[in-house]
Amino acid sequence: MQLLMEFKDLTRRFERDDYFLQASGSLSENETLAVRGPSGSGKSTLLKILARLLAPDTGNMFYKGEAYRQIPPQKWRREIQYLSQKPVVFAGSVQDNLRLPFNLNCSPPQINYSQDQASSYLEAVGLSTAILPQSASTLSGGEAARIALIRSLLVQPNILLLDEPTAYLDDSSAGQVINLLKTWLVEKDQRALVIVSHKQEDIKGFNQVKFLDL
Amino acid sequence: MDYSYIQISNTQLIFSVILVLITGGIATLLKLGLLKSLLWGTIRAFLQLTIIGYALTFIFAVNKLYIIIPILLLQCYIAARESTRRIHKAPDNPMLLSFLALTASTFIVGLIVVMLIISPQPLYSAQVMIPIFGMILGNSMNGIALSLDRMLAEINGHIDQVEQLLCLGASPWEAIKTDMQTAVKAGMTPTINALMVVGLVSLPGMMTGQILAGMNPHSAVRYQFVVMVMMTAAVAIGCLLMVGLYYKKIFTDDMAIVEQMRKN
Ligand SMILES: Nc1ncnc2c1ncn2[C@@H]1O[C@H](COP(=O)(O)OP(=O)(O)OP(=O)(O)O)[C@@H](O)[C@H]1O
Ligand SMILES: [Mg+2]
Repeated sequence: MQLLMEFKDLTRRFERDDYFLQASGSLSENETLAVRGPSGSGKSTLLKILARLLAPDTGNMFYKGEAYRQIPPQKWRREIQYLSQKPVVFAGSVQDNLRLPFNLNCSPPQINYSQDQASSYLEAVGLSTAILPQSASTLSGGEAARIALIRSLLVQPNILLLDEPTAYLDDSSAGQVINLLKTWLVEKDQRALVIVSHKQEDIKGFNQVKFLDL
Repeated sequence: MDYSYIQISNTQLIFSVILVLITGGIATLLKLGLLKSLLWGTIRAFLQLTIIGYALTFIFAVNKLYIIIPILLLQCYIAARESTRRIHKAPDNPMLLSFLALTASTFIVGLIVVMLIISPQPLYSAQVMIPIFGMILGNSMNGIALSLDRMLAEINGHIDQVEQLLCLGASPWEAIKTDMQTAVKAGMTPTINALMVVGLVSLPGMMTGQILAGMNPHSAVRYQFVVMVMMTAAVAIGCLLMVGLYYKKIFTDDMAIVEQMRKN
């Protein structure tokens, strides 16, 4: 099993001196790393550090054996897709949102937007293609969360960093999302998942699970 | 020179004290606590304007580039400080960039107006350059202050969106493009709106001055039109430069939003 990602002795302090994050871990092919801990323990902070949106005070991160400083942030973030705790959609239709990464100046190399792929992801998470022309700002919280997830999947990352992806969903939709992630993980080589979740059922859905307690 | 305009004599000037007394009366009547500021403001305005009067008389008489240019640069510096004064907690210090943006916009537009449109003899006439550059500068300064303020507020309110765009592969510029558009627009809107109503509500100060000084209204209107479009252009260039130079300071070397942006 190939080691995909590793982070060693990451630390992070904020101005408030009663909080200190410290974390190490690794992630191999097809593995799921479940990050657990009480509210305020630093789960989101860790994910933001792994997405390089927040700089760690100390420590190092490696992707496929290479230290993060050697990898351009745009490439890093595209291959290691981060989804924030609050789902983010942009002005325009759902369709515009799904195409967005492909309309950037520096759109993903060797990947084109695939409508078939988008439709099959939509179906897998219980949404119909009728939602495509809808204005993204009118989506419900749970719909926005699923659209944001699909948008990231279409970029074809190797690692997904998901911050409570089922927080806005009912149990059956949550189950659909977890099932989609489960098939996504094994559909191709060199894929892995980091997930923050307070729900036992979410984690139980995966096969090779490692835990990181903060 | 033609002194056809009506001069204000010293005695006549003293009558303007009546106006100060009226303001003071209102301030006292309503217990506004403004009396001290009013007094101090009146004295300062009188002294500052008197000194400027003497300084300008001297500068116009000498009329040398080695005096004109440093004065214009000093004005740019003061305007740069003023345009960034209200902005706290901004990443890096935007003062220097504001100075660059103001100087560039003022000189580009100022030179076009002075050299091509007004073209006095000799070309570098302090009497033309100093007031024209000053008017441009005042507007650019307000535009830049508005843009900068708006840019920081927009990005601060959209941090999640900006970060998600970065994650989807956007460059820093792409990630904040809509916020930058809003910011530049906020800076430019007042001068563009001014184009719409000029002359309808009140006559602009410069035109009023020229008419009082005896200029025929047709000529005064031409000047005013040039001044209006020059201000719009200067504000556009100033805001664009400011925002375009400053946006890089919002990001770290790692293309992430700098820590300070989260603290506002
Ligand atoms: N930019 C910041 N400035 C100061 N403190 C911060 C900042 N970001 C996070 N914190 C603090 O760091 C701690 C960890 O926050 P984080 O969001 O990582 O927690 P979490 O484990 O994701 O919690 P939850 O389960 O509620 O989402 C919290 O106490 C939070 O208040
Ligand atoms: Mg969190």
